[in-house]
Amino acid sequence: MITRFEHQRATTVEQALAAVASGAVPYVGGTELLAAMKLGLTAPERLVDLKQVGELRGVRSDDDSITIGAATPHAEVAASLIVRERLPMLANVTSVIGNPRVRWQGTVGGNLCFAEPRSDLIPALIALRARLRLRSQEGGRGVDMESFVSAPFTVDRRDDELLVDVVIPTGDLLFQQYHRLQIMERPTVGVALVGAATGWRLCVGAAGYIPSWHDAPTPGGFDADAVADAIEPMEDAAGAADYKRDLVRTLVSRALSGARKVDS
Amino acid sequence: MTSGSFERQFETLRTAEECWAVLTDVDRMAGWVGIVGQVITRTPLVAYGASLEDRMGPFRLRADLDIRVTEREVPARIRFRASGQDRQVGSRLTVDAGMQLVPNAGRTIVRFDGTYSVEGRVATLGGPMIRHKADAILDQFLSRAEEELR
Amino acid sequence: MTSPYQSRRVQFTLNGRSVASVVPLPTMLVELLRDHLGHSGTKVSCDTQVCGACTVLVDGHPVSACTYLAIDVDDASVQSVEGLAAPDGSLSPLQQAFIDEFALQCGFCTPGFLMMATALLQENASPTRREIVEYFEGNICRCSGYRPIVQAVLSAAGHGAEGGHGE
Repeated sequence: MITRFEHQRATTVEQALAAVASGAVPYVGGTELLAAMKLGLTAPERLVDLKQVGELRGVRSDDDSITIGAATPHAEVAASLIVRERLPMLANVTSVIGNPRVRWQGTVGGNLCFAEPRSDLIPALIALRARLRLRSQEGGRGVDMESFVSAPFTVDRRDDELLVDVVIPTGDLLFQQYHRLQIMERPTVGVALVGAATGWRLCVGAAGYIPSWHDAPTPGGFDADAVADAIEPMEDAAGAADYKRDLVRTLVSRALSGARKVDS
Repeated sequence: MTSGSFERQFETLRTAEECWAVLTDVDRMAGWVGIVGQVITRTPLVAYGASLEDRMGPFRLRADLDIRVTEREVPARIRFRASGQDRQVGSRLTVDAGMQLVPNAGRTIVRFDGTYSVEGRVATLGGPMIRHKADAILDQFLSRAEEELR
Repeated sequence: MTSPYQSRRVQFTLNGRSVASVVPLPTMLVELLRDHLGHSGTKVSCDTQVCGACTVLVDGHPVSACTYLAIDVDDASVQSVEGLAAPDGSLSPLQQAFIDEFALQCGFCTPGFLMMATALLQENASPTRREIVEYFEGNICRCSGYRPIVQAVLSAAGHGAEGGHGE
């Protein structure tokens, strides 16, 4: 049973910030929040719907970055011509998250802020070195994607802050790929590999309690065994620890062999 | 349902009697583990109550435990069963555990073992998360116990 | 007995017609459709967004009505399975294809598959078999073995059927 709550709708960022400052819990698609409320696992006293805050939605770009509003549905990111052209890996990831309903109801910001360990988007954005921009009535601040999630469901966002958008640098990208195994409703393992002139980053998501990532100057600097051994896998119906480590090893090897063809 | 078992031990230079005194002082031990709120002694070495409070992102745990001592041999062994329910969701938590103090050539081996289980919606959603938390709580308790008995 | 919940009026377009209802805030869209508006075609099965039986279209996009606040369709355009057939009751090409291909047995998952297929065909009028299978990733059928459902969508697409007769 959902306990009593009040509900308001914001149409501007200022209204939304005032609402969260006074204790309202923000939502857009509600795919995780409403599900948790139905199960009685969380009981916010007030909700603020952000679906009509236009400033929080959409894909913008300039010469060396692409910015995605936090309230943008995954399907909108996947359909964006700018994203398809300059961040094809992100277009791919957002086109395979969940199922089509999840991709239209669910948003980039919701996925990041809920921080379910089995997220496709979080490791992809870590590998892409995304920067998150948060705002409160007191002002704004930036957080690197790799620093945002500290534990399952635990992120660096105060209750009075909103995630406004995600900025992804696109200036010197050489290579970007996402490899995933999914057998049930959520991914078992996801591996994102991104190469830029300034360096390469590999991030493993979904297998462990939080994503793990590694940096190297070239793809040859990554070792699939070392990456797999560094993971503390969650043991669940999708697999035991050793099995998941094997999956990580395999997917990392696939990503690296893809990279070797490019970086030669 | 999610369940797990544990078996941990450490050695200390203290005597079994000294260990017993510390490891049955529930008010003192309550402060060792963040998740434990209040502990009430209903009948010493027989019955206790404890409240648990924790948070993982948007999810809160608030449970009240009923603790019954099932076996007792001063100052060597004690076993207890703790059971309770989360106030919000009604998920049930059960712990069966015991402590043994074994003298060993001037030292004492302090041994803990037990099983725990969580039933209900919380367990359905977060089985591995719960086990991860349980391990972290046990680590916290044991390292504190070792420190206090140094 | 007074309800412990606040209520709110929601007004929207359902299958082309304007409707309104006053609902307690925690009411999900599927409950609004089934219990308040008598449209029982949309089903509740898993109640956790994974089976697709509760699929409806909101502003053209598929959502899980079991986990969507009814008040959030205020001013929106909603399509449910009841809107696929023509006003005179004649079935849409997509519905007819489901019958022709034996794409339903118990029929419980069928409204969800029909609404997903409607959304797919609006987006992609000539999907490949693979695209259909991938689009149905979040829809479960316990009876048919899925193949007849995919065949029905292929067949309907082949006949140029992008959706129902209704709005």
